[in-house]
Amino acid sequence: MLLFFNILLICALTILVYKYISLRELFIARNLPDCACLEAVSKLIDTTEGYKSPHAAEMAKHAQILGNSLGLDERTLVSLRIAAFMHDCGQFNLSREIIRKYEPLTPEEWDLIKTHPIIGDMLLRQSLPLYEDIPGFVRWHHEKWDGSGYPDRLRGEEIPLPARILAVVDAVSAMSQDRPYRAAFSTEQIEVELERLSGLHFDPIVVKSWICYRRSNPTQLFPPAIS
Amino acid sequence: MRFQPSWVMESLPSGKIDSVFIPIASRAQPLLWFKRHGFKIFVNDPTEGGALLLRAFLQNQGELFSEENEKKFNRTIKKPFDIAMNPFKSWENRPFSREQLDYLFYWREAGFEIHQPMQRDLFWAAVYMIMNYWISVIKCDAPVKFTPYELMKHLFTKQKEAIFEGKESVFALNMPMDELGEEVEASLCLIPLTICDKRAIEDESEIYFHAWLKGYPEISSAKREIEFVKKNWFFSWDSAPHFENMLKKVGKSKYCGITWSGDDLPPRIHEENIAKPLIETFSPNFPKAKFMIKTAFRQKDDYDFLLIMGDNV
Repeated sequence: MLLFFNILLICALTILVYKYISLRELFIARNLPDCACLEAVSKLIDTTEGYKSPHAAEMAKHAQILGNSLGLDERTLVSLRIAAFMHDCGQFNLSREIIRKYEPLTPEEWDLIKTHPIIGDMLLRQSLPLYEDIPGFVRWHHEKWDGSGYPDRLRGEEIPLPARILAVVDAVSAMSQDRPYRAAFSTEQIEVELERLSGLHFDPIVVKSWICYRRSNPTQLFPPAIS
Repeated sequence: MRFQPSWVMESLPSGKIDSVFIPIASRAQPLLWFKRHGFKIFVNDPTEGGALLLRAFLQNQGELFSEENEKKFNRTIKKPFDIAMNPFKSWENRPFSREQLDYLFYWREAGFEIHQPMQRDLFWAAVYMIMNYWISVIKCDAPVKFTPYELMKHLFTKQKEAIFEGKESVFALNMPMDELGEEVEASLCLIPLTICDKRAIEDESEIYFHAWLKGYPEISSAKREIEFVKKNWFFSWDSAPHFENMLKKVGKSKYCGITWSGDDLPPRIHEENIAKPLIETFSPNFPKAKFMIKTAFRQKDDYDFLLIMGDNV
């Protein structure tokens, strides 16, 4: 009887500790830099890049849904959302002529462009010390599954899952908007393009997850963001 | 492991480094950063496949696979080969399809017909990339959207983007670790440390590529060979580290950088079990040390570590 009582007590204590840790994590997650403010900054970055409608905010919505379906925990989802808002903050350091250039870039200009994830990483490392994985997600959002991305040419699962999600939603959001040099892609065209580049540029699992979600929600690209 | 050259260089005193010596490379492509920024590079891979990729991507000063060779060797196989002729027949559905095996057989034989060494390296480097793609999509049960011909064409285009002429020379070596010289004069010796616990010290595509290159029908022989040539150059939680061997290879470097990644364990364990013993072993040559940690993915306890040692770090 006593043994049973002890086991029960241990279980209850374990549950309590688990709940305490989860609540603490959630509390820390809520104690964030103001997301609305970050969203506003992200719109500024979008304008610099020449997007006519919100790009980073769209990414944040999509990333959260994909991250949720791929098993990211609450805290990582918060980090992912912030990383999506701030993914191109390193571009502020670059000249607008290069960022918005529609002709092919010269190798030197490409070298400059490739520094923006590193600059973003360094900036965020100083300003968001509590959310220590956000700088990494920003640093690796241009890495490609086959190792041909930048800045570190990471390959496959070397790239943390949230950064692989950012890569897909960045492409989806960019393709779904009109650009001066091409019209917006339809959702079917986006799906074809993602499938084509699955295993080369994008993680096949993330692509599969996106396609699965899109097919179960055929009327819209993605539903409104989870608040 | 996540090898981040820019992080290494940011952590060193500026203007002090002009050359980098990497006794055992992790992968070729991340090292392109050093080439792009004008560092002289000495890099070694004891496996033949690894060294081939180092030559094709890194040592190569801008040579691309010629159009003439592309026309000659990137062909579509119209009639399947007799599987009995194929040395890799035991790989059928493990993981490659029959059609993929036909191409792997053809590309290997075709490579021997290319007499210019760099052209052959470029051709086989493209085959490595294709194997890597096939393995990753098969593992995820995703559809293969390109024919082998299209894939090869795509990868030659990728090579055009990656390969360039560097400002400084690159020496890609293929030497056994025991024979590697101890007198290399580079300002920085950089060691990517592979942690071997749950996973093997080499990845799946590396094993298949090695087996394919050597014509081994069974991948177990390739795995054994890679493990043998890399022994003492990885860290295992279960056995004593071989840090003295690493110290012997730092040559006359002014600085030494050791970098690794690890998941499932808190950073403190890495600091106690890897960084501190390394600092102690390397202290006769490098009296000062700086240890840095970066979070890659907190949910998985995935961190990157960098240890920089020298006189004034």
